[in-house]
Amino acid sequence: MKFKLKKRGSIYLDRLFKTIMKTFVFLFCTVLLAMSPKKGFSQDADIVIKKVRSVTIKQIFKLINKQTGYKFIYRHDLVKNTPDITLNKGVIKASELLDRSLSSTNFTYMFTENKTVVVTENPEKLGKTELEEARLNVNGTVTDVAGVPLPGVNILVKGTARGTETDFDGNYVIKADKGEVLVFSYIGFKTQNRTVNGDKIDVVLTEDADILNEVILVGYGTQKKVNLTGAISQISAETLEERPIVSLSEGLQGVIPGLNITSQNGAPGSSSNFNIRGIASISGNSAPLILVDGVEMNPDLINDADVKSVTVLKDAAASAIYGSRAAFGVVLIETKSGKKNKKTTVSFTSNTSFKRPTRLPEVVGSSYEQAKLINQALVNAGEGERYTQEFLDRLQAYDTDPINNPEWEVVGEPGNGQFRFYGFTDWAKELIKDNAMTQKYTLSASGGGEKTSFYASVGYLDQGGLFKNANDSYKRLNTSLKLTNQTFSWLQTGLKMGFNSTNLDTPHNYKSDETVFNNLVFSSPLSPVRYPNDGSEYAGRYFTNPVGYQKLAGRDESANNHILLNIDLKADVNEYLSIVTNFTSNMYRYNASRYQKKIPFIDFKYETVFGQSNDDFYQLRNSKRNYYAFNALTQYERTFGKLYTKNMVGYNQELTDNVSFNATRKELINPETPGLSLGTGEEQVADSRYQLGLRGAFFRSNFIYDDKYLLEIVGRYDGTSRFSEKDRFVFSPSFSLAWRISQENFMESLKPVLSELKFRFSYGALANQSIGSNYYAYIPSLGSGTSNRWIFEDERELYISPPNLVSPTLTWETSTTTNYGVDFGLFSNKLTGTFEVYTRETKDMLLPFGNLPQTAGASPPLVNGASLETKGFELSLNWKQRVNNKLNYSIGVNLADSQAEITKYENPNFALYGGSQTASFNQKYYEGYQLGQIWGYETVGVFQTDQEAADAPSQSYIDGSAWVAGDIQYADLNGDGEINIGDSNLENPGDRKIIGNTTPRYTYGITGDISYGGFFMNVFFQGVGKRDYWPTTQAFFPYASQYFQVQKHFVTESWSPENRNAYFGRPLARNDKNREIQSRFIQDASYIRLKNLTIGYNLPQSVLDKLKASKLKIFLSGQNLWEHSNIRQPLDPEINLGNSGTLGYAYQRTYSLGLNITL
Amino acid sequence: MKNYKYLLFIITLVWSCNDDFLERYPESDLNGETFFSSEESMKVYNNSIYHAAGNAFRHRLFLGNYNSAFTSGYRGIFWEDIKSDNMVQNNSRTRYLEQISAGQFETRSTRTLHGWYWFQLYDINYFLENYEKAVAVLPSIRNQYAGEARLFRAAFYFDKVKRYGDVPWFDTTLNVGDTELFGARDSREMVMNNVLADINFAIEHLPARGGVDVGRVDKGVALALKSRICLHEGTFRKYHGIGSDANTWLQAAADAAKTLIDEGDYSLYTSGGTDVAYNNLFKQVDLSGNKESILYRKYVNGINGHRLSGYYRSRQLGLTKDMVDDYLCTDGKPIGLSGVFLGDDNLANELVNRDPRLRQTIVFPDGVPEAADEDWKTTYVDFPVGLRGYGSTSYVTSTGYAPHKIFDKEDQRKGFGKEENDAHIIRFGEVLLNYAEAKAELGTLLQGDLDISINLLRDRVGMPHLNVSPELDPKYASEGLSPIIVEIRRERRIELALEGFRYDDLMRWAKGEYLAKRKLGMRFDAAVAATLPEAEVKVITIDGKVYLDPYQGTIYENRVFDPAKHYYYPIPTDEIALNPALTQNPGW
Repeated sequence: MKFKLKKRGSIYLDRLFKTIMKTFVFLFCTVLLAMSPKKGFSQDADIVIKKVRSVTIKQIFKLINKQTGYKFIYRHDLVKNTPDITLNKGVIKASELLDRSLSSTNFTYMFTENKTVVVTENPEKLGKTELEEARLNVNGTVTDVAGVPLPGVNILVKGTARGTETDFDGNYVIKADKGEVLVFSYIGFKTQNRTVNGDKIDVVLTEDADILNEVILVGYGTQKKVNLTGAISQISAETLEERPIVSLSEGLQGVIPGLNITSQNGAPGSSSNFNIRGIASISGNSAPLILVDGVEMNPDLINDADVKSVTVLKDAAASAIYGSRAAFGVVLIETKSGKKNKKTTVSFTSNTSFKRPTRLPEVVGSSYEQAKLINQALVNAGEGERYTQEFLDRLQAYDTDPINNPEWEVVGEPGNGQFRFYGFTDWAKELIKDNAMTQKYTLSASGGGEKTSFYASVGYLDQGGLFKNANDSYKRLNTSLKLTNQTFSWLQTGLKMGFNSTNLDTPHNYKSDETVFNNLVFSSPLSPVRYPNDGSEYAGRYFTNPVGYQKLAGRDESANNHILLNIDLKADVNEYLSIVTNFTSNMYRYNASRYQKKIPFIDFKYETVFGQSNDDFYQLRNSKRNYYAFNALTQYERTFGKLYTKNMVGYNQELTDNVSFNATRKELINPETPGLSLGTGEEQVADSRYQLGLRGAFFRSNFIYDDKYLLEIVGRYDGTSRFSEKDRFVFSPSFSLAWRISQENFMESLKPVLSELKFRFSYGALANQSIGSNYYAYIPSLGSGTSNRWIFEDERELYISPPNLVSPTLTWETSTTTNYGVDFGLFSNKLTGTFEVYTRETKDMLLPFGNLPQTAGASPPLVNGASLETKGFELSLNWKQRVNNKLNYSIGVNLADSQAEITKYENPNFALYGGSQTASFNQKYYEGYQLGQIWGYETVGVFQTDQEAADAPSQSYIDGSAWVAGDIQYADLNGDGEINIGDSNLENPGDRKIIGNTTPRYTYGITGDISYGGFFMNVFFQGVGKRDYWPTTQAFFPYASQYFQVQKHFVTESWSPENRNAYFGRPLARNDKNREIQSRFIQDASYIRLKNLTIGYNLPQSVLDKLKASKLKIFLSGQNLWEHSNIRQPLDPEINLGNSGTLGYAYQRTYSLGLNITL
Repeated sequence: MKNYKYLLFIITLVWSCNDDFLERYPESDLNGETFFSSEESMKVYNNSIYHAAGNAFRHRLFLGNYNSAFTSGYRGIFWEDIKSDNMVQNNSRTRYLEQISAGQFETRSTRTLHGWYWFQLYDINYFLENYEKAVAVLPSIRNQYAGEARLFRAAFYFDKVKRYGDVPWFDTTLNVGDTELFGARDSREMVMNNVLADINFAIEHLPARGGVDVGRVDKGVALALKSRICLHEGTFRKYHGIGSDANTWLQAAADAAKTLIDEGDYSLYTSGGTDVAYNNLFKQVDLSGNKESILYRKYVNGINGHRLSGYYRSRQLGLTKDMVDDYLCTDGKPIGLSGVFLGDDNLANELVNRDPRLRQTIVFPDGVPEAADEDWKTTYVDFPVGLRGYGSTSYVTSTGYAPHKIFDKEDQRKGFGKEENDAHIIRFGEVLLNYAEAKAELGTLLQGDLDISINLLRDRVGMPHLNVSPELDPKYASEGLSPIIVEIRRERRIELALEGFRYDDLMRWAKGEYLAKRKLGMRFDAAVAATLPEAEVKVITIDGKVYLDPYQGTIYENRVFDPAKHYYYPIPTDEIALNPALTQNPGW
């Protein structure tokens, strides 16, 4: 096999990087070693002084530390002004040296057991009795400028661990000494320090003009918002509270600009797709890295009530620290933790909601009408009528007078004759419930003492589905425990444990490509549900229909059990240097069973038939996936005059090990006891296994000068087991710059209006190795299977198939992002906003080779063969105001847009694919192709007369049958007198052109919060400003099949001589000629949807006191309450299609009642 | 404290200071370099070639019944005759066949249009590139499996040439960057010479019947396939006036067939006698021991069950009037010459005194071979025609001539996806026909040749023997064909009815214009209509006679066959867009 692909990098460079990495690891190990003392623990350790010199007291501490390993703990400010000490050459005992050095100061020292020397102020200066007497019960009220009491304000005695917080009325009490300083801090307000000189201190906090001081999570650490240089957005848990969401992803949709979340459908437990800043790679994987407390995890597994904040790292510079996993951005989810020195609170939230489908197809409610219309559509298509006149007469009779005409009858003997049905079956009524109930509970406790804090929670979700005749449900149990312990003064130990369990339980889906919702359309109302109760042995038996399948189906169950264990250690080596290591073990156990139970239906001739259930089987599947991650990093943070710098180096390693197994048994003996050993039919077993290793070393440096000029540099060196040794490693550098122009003196005059203005620029490259389930893409391996196609004797034969084509030079794809951002705050930051513009270029995309003709006889191999450029912007604006002590409100708007274009693709002839028929169009990429483009014909209109059709350019290429009045006229764009696809390439696309683009543009979210006293209301709108959609579903186009339900829009919007301005052509069953992809039926899938509306009430303190509660909130909430969209029936604007373009599980309107109580 | 720090150090060391961490290899996969080592390895590898051939959607060379229940109702060998002038079925599922039949299909762009699939070739060529690595295996065994692979390659390319004419020839696997992938088509001559080399290799190295595992191809399959391929190529060249060596191919066809006849491994299936043997041949749940079967597709309930008979009854099928007219009368003469023909003004008369294969192919008014089974008649075919069921158009015949060859009530009753009757791919009866036709086209046909071929088929059903110089059927008087060619072609049409041969036969005989003839059903004059008052049918009057006209009002009513265009399928436009060197077939 020959390959002519570009070879990247040289082996020497790789060796160099490997050496660097090894050196780094060695150094890292050595640093840890160096922390250990060379000598034993003794106060009398000898200190060697090599020459006479004058040193500061800090230098003495360092000297002792260096020679003995003792660590010193002291308040930085205390030693600031001590005089220098002169040391003489020689040897001196450590204790003696300390005594001498501290003699002139107010300090004393103490050796502790854990090799630490604690230096404190000399208590002998104050008498012990004095100390106790001096301690006062300081109390007071904390309010804002408007006099509104602020509950939950943190109060800390400076330099101690003593703290409290204000109650609901803003009152506090704390013990403090005279002269001590109380620190009052509250999110969104300026922190105030007050020195104790009496027992009453009332504080008025002013809103933080510098709201950007908020602390934001960044990769492996935090950063003040004001110091950010990359494109990062964060939301806090408040955004999610009170919403009757069943998963975190549901709550995050539309909340953060640039974070696109699309749900697949409305089924219980259905998952969502995450995407940051639009399509970044056409290789199929543009999913961001999602980390929960630093660990990669499915966000839907966790309890959304445990979430404290969600941060999205959008540009390469921000996410570069995560390297190869983060090429498409990072979502950091932080869960709640306990706080030190905080009394234990217990909180309980309950939420009960009812869900109704948003849109269901509207059907013609009469069997007679249905049958007539179907006949007409068939005749138009040149096919035979489906219903005889005699039958129509009976339908009409029953339709007009159901009392005196039979709904059904039997021709011949019951049991041996022919059953006939004249009634009307409303499948929506038969299959779908009006309401589905979801219940959600969370019980959590958190608190902390001097050394240890904790957060523990248990959550339970029970989401019911809409199926009427059988239960479909999703259940989730979450338990989590987070402990943090100050093990030593220098070491903090953290432990996080979690158990998450989900369970999906649904009736078996017999037609895998059809859903129950699909059957609302894909069933005829002329079919009865059950045999009528005529007293015969057949009474009540199901005919072959979706209700029977739903009611009598076997069950498909799947359970995901997930155990998380995370240990982290954080060591403060000294005031500048810290080391963090953590180890995570994530264990996933997936168990599922599928049971295709045999269902005995009855047919119209009294025979027992099994329909799709004929081929019964029972299947068990399980998989075991273990994921281990290890991180170690060390950080150095220091201020030199006006320069602040923070530097970090780190190491990351991950291993995923997956083993899965499934077994199937056919022809079960007893339908009530399915089991692998309880069948007589074929047995099938299969297993698979993969491992994936990732390893990386990284660094990050921040420099901030004078709070104005900011620089961040990040580099990461990554290796993956997915590629061969010579292409395995990659280095990704990035940097970002920011200028806080508002801090400049020349901006001073604008301060009253323009409180904050920052310009940012970033540039970064990231590598991606994520190519789905292709774990060994560079190794050609023979395949194997057992054939169900060609068999020699009575069983499947093993076959070994040839390896797929493989490119031996596979390597990383890279994405480079250039980001320009501006952050601003106006009117004392009442109005804040961020605007970002970016360009992201993805190069060497890993995707199937694009120019492989069918004659190769093999699927195209993965190659690094395409480039893509995405351009977009994001804007967010927030207005927040406290009008008076009761009325608060805020409004937030975010808007994002992106569009990607192929800049390189292996398609030298600019071939276009597909565009052939309706159901699926398989677009081929070419350079200059904008992702999402729809190629199709342009519609002229509907032929009004046969003559018009005859005179028009020939459309026989599309369909050889006669084109007549009521058919669609396609435009002859190239004027050759014929409608066709030309050479199916860009140069000669025939009469096709670009007629739309499915990329969602201008995605936006609008939030509004208002509170008045204890009442509050939140609204949240979410929408897409522009999107085209080609309706692939047969449910959309009238009379796609004579077996389907006739919907109302078929009648009102199909062409007829009486309805000449109709949207669709004439009724035409089973014929696609009027359904070619064309401009007329492109749907405007833009929408605005009221995603959430919550009204609630916080009970007043007086009531709470009686209940001994600190908070009690009740709220009513609605989800998906209203929408506006131009998209036509029966489509939902969020586009909800199952497999093969069928209608999917409907999205739902949710109405809920919730309660939140904190004790 | 010290210990903790050391522990931290050790953890770091253990985790990071090993070089193998990123070396992960598939643990259960096989490596192509070392795989071919034993006979067993070649056999299981070649199973994948069978598996690919079994993908009836992609590869039609050995099309059987379709191995998925739903699809078997409109794809598979049985339905192929809808493409020809033999059968009528107006149903959207088989639209693709009807469109071809009526010349109402267009290039479209689909990359795999009309069988432009090349996957099996990759499987075959990969084997042929690598099997010689099994040096420990005897050359004769290696060649046996190479023969198996080359037989499939011959079949593969034969199928491609039939459809497209010139096609690119590849005998190695190709990867990204290989310029051959973007080359032009190779000439039919070159490709067919390679096909011949492949099939000859297979004949030389494959063991005779019984020398291979049940169900695998053997020398007999190779010989029979050779007779089919060479007859096709010989007649195609002769009647389309291409190439100069038509006779070489015809001789090769005759020789291959004769070898097979002489070796005596195969014989016609005659159990049950002249009234049922022919019909029963197509209702076999297991063909493995059947002496007439040379190659078949096996179906087993629970693995690859189908639903052919289940859909058969609901597809409004019908043989054409033209087809039924071709059945001889019991005196061995065509209806235009026979003294025992009672005329066709009604079915009852029309079907009297006809070749017994007619009764074994279509439903007669007085019943089917299982005459005692009234239930079969009323339940599965609402005889005779057009009688609409209540609320359904199912279970009627579109022409009055409802077929039942290949239909099996017992199999049908097994249920959806549970039918398991095997499907013939190559049977000895075809080889006999190939032999007679090749000899006749060569002009070397003797009575003795007929007696060891066509007359054996006639004996099976109790028909009079065919004579080397029969009387010319007036129906074919204007064709300019010798009477014996007419009769041999008739025999082929009758014997192989509904087995998917007819369309290919018309193509190689350059008789595409037959497809343009209106497809009619039985006579439906006023007297007949009066007996069937409920029938809702479309009729047409030709020369004062009224016929059922099943395609009336549909696009298949306008039948076109353009000889400059329709003998080949179009190459998919999208594939030409990828590789402009492919170029389109004439007229498309």
